[in-house]
Order: sequence, then C-alpha cells, then structure tokens
Amino acid sequence: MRTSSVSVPVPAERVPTRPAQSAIAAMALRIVRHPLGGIGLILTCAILLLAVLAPLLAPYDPIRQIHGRELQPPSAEHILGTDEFGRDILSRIIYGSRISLMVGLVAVLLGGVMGVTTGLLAGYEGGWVDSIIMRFYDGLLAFPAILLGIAVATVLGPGAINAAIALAIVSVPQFARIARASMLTEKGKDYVTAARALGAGDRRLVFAHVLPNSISPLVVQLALAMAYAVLLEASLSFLGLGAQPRTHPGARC
Amino acid sequence: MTQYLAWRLAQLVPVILLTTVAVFLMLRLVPGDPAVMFAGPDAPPEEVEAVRVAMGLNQPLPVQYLFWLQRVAQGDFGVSYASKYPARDLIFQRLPATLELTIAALLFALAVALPTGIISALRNRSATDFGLTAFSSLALAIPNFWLGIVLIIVFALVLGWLPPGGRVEFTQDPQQALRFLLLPAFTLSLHLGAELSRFLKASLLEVLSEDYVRTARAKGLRERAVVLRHALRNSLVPLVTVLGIRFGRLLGGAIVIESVFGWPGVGRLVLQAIGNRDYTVIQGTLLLLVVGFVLINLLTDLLYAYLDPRIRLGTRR
Repeated sequence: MRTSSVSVPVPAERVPTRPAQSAIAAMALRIVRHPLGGIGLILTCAILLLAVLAPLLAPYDPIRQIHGRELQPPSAEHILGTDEFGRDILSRIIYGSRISLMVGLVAVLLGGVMGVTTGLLAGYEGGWVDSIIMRFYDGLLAFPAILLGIAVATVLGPGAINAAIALAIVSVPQFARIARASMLTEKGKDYVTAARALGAGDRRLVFAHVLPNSISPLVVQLALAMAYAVLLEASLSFLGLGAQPRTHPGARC
Repeated sequence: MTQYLAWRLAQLVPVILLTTVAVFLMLRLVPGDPAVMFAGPDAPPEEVEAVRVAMGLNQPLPVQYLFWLQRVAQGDFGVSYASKYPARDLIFQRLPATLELTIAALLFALAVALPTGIISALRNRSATDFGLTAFSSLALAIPNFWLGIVLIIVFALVLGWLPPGGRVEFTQDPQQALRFLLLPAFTLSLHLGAELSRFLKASLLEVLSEDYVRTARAKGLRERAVVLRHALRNSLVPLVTVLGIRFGRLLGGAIVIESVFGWPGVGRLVLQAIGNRDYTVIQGTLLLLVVGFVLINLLTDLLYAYLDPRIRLGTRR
C-alpha cells in the first residue's frame, strides 16, 4: 500500500502495554521489508525533511517579490521559474509543503482523537448511546468530503486552520467506526474481564487495555486519512478556501 | 425483499433529518444577521425588521427549522440573497450540467477500470500488472485539478484539439458538446478509474479462485467464457456498492473540476454563492446534493441486495 509507510513515525515507546508494542514493531518491520513500503518510507521521510528544513533548502524567500523577474521560465537562478509577482516557485513549493503537512496532520490528529474517543464510547456503552453517536456519524458520512469542507469553510471563513477543522470533521466517522468495531470485538475477551476483575475502572479499561490492542487498524486509518486530507486540502486551497496568502506568509499563493 | 426495503428506509429517516438540521444550522451559525444581509447593509432599521418578520427570523430556532423544513419539502429553498431569484430555479438550471459531467466521468472511469482491472487480475504479478498498479498509484496521488490544468495546456493551448473550457448543450450540437465534455469528464474520472481498477482486480482474483470457476474450466469452457461469463459477472456485484459510495466523492470532485474548466454546473454556482455570501443558494445546493447522495447510496444497497440474496436474507440484525 502506498500510504501505509506514513505509519512508521508513530512512536512505539508511547504505547503502554506489551501486545500493541510488538504489533507496531512487527508492522514497522513489515513495512521496511516490503519493497513498496521501503519506497514509501523514503518518500515520506524526504517530504518531512523538506518541510522541516525549508529555511535551509529554499533558495529564496517564498514571499519576496523580485521586480523585473515576473513569470520567468525555469532557469539556473530559478529552477522552477517565477510566478506573476516575481516570487521563486521552488521556494514557494518547499514552504508550501509545511502547510500541507501541518493541515493534514492537525486534521487527522483532531479527527482521530474525536473519532476514536466517541467510537470507543459507543462500542463500550452500547444501547442508546451507541445508536445516537453512530446515527450522527451516518449523517456526517452522507456529506461528500469536499461539500463538508465547503460548508465548514463557509461557516468559519476560509483559512488553513479552518480547512484543518473541516478535514478533521470529514475524517471523524471513519475513525469512530473502526474504534467501535475494535471495541466490540475486544470487549468480550478474557483480558478485559480479568482487568475488570482486578478492579480497573471504565476509563482505565478503555484507554489502557482496549485501545492499545486495537491500535493497528487505527494507525492504518491514520495514514490513509492523512493522505486523503493532504489531497483534499489541495482542492480546498485551489477553490480559495484553504490557506490564505496574507494571514500565512509563505503559503502557496 | 420488502422487509429489507422497509429496514433500509427506516434507517434513512434519521440520516436525512440530521442532514437537514445540519444544513439549516449552517445558515444560522454564520456570523452576521441574515435579515441585515438580505435587506442590504444600508437598509434602515424598520426595513431590516420587516425582512426579519417576513423571513420568520423572529421566531425561536426550532420553529424556524420546522417552517423551513416544510417549505423545503414543498421545493421552496428560499430566495437568493444576491440575485433575489428563487434559489431552486438557480440550482435546477445548473443541475443538468453537473449531472452530465458526473455521469460522463463515471462512464469514463468504468471504461478505463474494466479492461485494466481484468488484465491486472489475469496477469497477476506480471510486468503489465505491476505497471498498471504503479500507474493507478500515481493517478490516486495526483490532485485532479492539477491534471485538468495540464490537460488544458496540452490539448487546448499547445495542440489546439479541444476547447479549454465551457459547455455546449447536447440538444444544440451533440458533436461540439462531446468535444467540450471530453477533458473535464476525463479529469474527473481519474481517481475513480484508478480506484475501481484496483478494486476490480482484487475482487476478480478472489472469484477466480472459487470452486465454480474451476468447475467451469473443468467442463472445458474456453478461458474467455470462464472469465467474462462466470468470474467477471460475480466480481461486478461488489463493484456496484463501491460505485454508489464513490458517487458522492465524484459529485464533490465535480465542484472542483467545474471551476477548472468553467463548466456551468452547481459547483460553480456554490463557489459564486460563497463569494457573495449567498447562503440560501449554498444551503439549497448542499441539501440537494447530500439528499441525492443518500438516495443513491440507498439505491445501490437495494441493487446489491437484489443481485446478492445473501445480503437481504443473511446477517442483518
């Protein structure tokens, strides 16, 4: 899978219990060994480095307008040419990757946290709590992602943060569904009963025992959602609903 | 089947109600007073007040919602803030163009996905399969509006074969209409085509390992007949569901593609409406698209249940 490599940077040491740790380690190992996984890992790292090291790598200031150099074709000074204001396009792309990644990451983390908590809650509680939460997400899923993005951007106004919020809302239902499904399969297992017998409270049961054991499908979903969020953010920006030029120096124009 | 239909329809009610609430609240969450926006910024307070009463904005929110729902159910989406035309007329004027684009893209995607998916499955792990898979990965990663711009540069500006944008009605000049439709429809079909191709490959591979395929081969059928008549038919069933789910994404994509190619559909209408803060038009379009999407999902589910009896008879709660 092209996107699964994104899941590698998840810090394994943060996960508290043993089984999940070995699951993540096994997954990381599988990705590195798989030829496509290796390629994906290299590409992901390259783009991450590009974003982090942008000030060092970009040949020009992305918002500096050089007069007399408007709309130049690619040349030795400007490898990808310049735009209509005489700004270096390569530098703008390098800095723009920061915004793409930030918006994607914020969107997916926000959506992931919201989706996983509510999904686990729905699966754990069952009954009417489950029904209300999941019917709500069914309704949310009925909005095509771009439309939802447009709706949110209309209410909140355009901008990178609001685009991230829109994309987060788009990604919530999927996370919730996966988390709920894991909860339903894990809930009846012996280790949960054992933990409860030892006196673990609801919160501890859910977050310290069930969550670590249902982490692998969630990590995969995190990677997929991130890839989708980055693409969607590009579309929203294209429509003028993403990062705005004035408020975010260095954004794509 | 009747029971299954009833169950699915019952599931639909909360979803549709939720979407109407969401779309209704959207207009109320927007900063600013709708009455002031409708009357215009320079209107005297009495006039704003008159508009407020006329629009029912002085009523409590739940009451407003019910009145709004009643009007929407009768097909009245309200009056456009910007042009003062009924929002419904504006939307329905643009809808055929969007549907034309979306359906053309759907056909394009199928035309690409069917042969490539079948070839990939039959020659699994071959160089051809690897090439096709790599190509579809690329297609999935490319933003489609970018491809649209590149296609315009290549086919319209450099080669001059096709128009760069705009639309001609099919009823006026079918041949010209096709020429205008070609680039936007192909651009829009990119992601769906790649996805369907992969899905068909996976589904076909699964079916090809089934017993009845071996039986078909054992009784001496030619490979062509085995693949097309026995395997493909069964692997198309899950494809129908994917198509239904992805149709919404296609509609969303159409909004973006329409503004690349200057296609006069609802997508451009919505974007213009956002620019003008014309909330009734935004609301009406969103509602129409979302409800349409929900209904298409219902239709695919029913079609799926019709094609595969295990679903309606089987594991439902």
